[in-house]
Amino acid sequence: MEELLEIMHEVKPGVTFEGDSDLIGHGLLDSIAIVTLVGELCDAFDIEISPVDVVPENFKTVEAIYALITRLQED
Amino acid sequence: MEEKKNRKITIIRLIKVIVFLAGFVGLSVIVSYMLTPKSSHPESGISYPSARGFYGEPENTIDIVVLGNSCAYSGFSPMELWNKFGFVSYVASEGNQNLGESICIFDEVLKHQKPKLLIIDVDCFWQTKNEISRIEYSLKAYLYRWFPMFKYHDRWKTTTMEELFADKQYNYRTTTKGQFLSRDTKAAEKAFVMEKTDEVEEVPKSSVVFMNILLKKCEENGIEVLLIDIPANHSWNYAKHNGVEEFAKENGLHFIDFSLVTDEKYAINWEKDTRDGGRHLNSYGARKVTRYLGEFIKENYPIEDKRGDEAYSQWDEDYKEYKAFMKKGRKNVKK
Amino acid sequence: MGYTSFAYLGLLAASFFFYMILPLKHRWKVLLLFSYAFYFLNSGKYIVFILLSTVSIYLTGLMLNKIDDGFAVAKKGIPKENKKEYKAVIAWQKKFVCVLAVLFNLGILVFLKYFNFLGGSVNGLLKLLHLSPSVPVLNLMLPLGISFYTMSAISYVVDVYRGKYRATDQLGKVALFLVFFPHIVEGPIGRFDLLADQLYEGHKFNYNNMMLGLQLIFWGLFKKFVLADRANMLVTTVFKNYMEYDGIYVVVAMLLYTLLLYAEFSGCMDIVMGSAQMFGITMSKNFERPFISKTVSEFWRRWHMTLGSWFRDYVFYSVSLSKTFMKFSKKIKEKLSPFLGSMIPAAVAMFAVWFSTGIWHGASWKYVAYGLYYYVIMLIGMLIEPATVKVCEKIHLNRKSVGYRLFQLVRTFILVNIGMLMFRADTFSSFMHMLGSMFTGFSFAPVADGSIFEIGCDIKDFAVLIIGALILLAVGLYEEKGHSVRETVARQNIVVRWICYYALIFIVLIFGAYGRGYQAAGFIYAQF
Repeated sequence: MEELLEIMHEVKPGVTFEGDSDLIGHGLLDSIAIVTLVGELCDAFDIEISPVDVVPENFKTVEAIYALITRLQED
Repeated sequence: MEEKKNRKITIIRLIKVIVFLAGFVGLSVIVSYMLTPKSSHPESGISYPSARGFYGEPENTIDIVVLGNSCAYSGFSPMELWNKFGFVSYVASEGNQNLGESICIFDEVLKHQKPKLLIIDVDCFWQTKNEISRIEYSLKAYLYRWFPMFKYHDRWKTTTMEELFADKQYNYRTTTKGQFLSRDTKAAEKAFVMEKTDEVEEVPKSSVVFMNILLKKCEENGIEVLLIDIPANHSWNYAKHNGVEEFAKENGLHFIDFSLVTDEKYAINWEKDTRDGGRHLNSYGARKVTRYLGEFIKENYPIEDKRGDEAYSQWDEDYKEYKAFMKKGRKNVKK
Repeated sequence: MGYTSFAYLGLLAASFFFYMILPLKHRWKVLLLFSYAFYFLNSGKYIVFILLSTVSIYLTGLMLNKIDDGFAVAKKGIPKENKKEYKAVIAWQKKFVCVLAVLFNLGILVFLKYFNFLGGSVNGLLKLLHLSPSVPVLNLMLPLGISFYTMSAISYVVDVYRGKYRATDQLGKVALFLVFFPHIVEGPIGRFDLLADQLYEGHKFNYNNMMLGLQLIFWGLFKKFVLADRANMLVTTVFKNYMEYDGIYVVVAMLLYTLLLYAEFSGCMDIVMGSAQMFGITMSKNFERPFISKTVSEFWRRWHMTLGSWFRDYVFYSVSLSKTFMKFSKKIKEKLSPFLGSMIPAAVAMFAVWFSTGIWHGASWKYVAYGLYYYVIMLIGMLIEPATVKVCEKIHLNRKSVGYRLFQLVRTFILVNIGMLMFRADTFSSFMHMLGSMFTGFSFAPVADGSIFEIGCDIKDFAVLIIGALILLAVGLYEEKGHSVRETVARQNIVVRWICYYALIFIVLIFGAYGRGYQAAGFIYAQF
């Protein structure tokens, strides 16, 4: 979780992601930021995120992203 | 229990829908009345005021009514017919008039006049491009008749508060009696000659249906019917002629096709008698058509010569205007 | 046969009637039958293309299922060390099938829609090289809605390939998903997982759905008849004779065209969604108050949303999340800078999106320019974003203040209007001419002496347009706050409610620009 937040802050400096209920709807994460984030996450956690996983539900909150990572690591 | 409740809800809803629709019809009638022009003068915004000039003639004075599209109001001259034969006629034709509209305006005529002869220019049998749109347009004519709101909805721009609820007063009269006067002369590219053929293009089904309505109306009112075709080089052909010939035979009607009139005195001169290259006749062409038609009417229908009748002295005055107009001579137009 | 014709309304009524009297499980057949009838009436023999697409994606789906099933069975019997190899073979097979299907469907679209454009471009190139033009010009007609259903077809194949859902083995479901008559002409572009089951399962008659659907249809008719068709009169005059107009004429024409396109397209969507709602079917939203956007990228998330999300899911992500692309971006990051590492790949992927968005709208360089216009604006926005943040901090400008937001709104509105001008202008050079002439001859004299009211819309037409636009704005703001106008009205007592309904109906009937003396605007997106 810590590591995830660190990466997210690297991608978008100066934004508070914690506690936000709708990162996409509130414009904190746009599609470009998501792509950058996905690239970083794949490297850091050694996972493969395919376009199917890139849906709003998986990137809505920090927790959702974390859940996605955990799920993919188990696969 | 549940079922009973549901049925009750359904019935209540059904009633609501019916009441709502009834309310809609009621409001439409009111709004329609408000938006309908209350005068038949051209500036009132009424459609084809010249076709509706029969309102301005004294009641039950007109003996012959002509229906059809623009070919009819361009190619028939009531004033000519009056001067030569003393027949009292009116052209209630409108641009692109379809048979639905013909029926509607004929009903208006019947409320005010008692004609003895109805002349129909058959060009309107083939009005618009296909059967579906012919039906659609004719049904639209009925819609406009019952709910003029759909036709005159745009009059919110021009009407006044007083006019909204005023009484209708249709009294506009015109000295042309519905004819579109034109001295313009634009030759057709080539003379229109119909090539004889045995092919038959049947009168479209929808037109037969609407014609039957019209014929029945005439029968009930003791009105005779005559079919004519006023020449127009872009829409007419011999196959259609054959189709109308058959239709006329079936219904026991006379049919005059002016494109086949060859007598030099009456035949159309395609250089001089058209105002727009052959699509419509000018008033010189109309004069020829009318004179031929007059002879035919005289021989075949019991229409009275009203010349010299005191009640029609106004028609002599109106003729003077027509004569003055025609005297000015042709006006050649290039394009 | 547009959505405002008697023929469409008749078809809707007839299909609704038969839908509701048949047993639930047969109801989808009514929709399918009427959809094909609608299609055939509009496009005649061109119906064969949509049938081809239907069969091709149906079979592709089945094939992908088969490959998946085979893998699932075989997986158990294969030793661990060979698993990876086997997986790669399967992945390659799936990719091959998917790409084939996409190319087939895209190929039909490209051939019918872009053949003459591509041929013309090749001929132009040959001419430049002093060779004689060799590609013939074909007389091709576009089948109804091909630009829309092809997108839906591709999304189905790709989703199945990606494993988002399993393909269906019911041909009727796929067929109805593509040809469903409310959305075939102008979208919204459907997604199989959101729409197909809804279309296929029978819905019970629901009084409220019918009423809410009808209200939405009338709201759409209001936008189309009262606003779009009325604005069309002035817009046509100015754009047709653009050499004769400058200054405020062009500005007004541009603003009215923006209003026209919004009213026409979103009005059509209201009719489509209202029609579907009568059957109990919910379609994807295509508009969400686009003119309160603060940036153009937000605008495109609110305008023609199903198109934007399609390009995001099937072009943007496909490109930017592909392995080659990821590697490429990593390399830049390591060799150059982290900022460029995230910028350059995004810029390339976005180029693909906006180039295709542009050309999707029409086979000409003007539409390419139209797409790239938005691309350039977004790119500039991205590049200067860090700098703007810094500058704002330095001069103590609060980027969340009302003033700044208003500035953003107005800026976006102007940029969008310029985009609309390009969209409507005949060619790119006439767009440039109009854009320039707006400034060269600007004065308020045409308003003062009334000559602006003589080119299609008189002062009363303007009054209707302005009031109508204000109504749209008010409704938009109300809905932006999370309310629904239809639900608010439904909560009132019967007198208030009926007054609202009658008012809407009679406003459409009286103030609609239909009938004699009017030329309807036509459904603009139906040409795409």
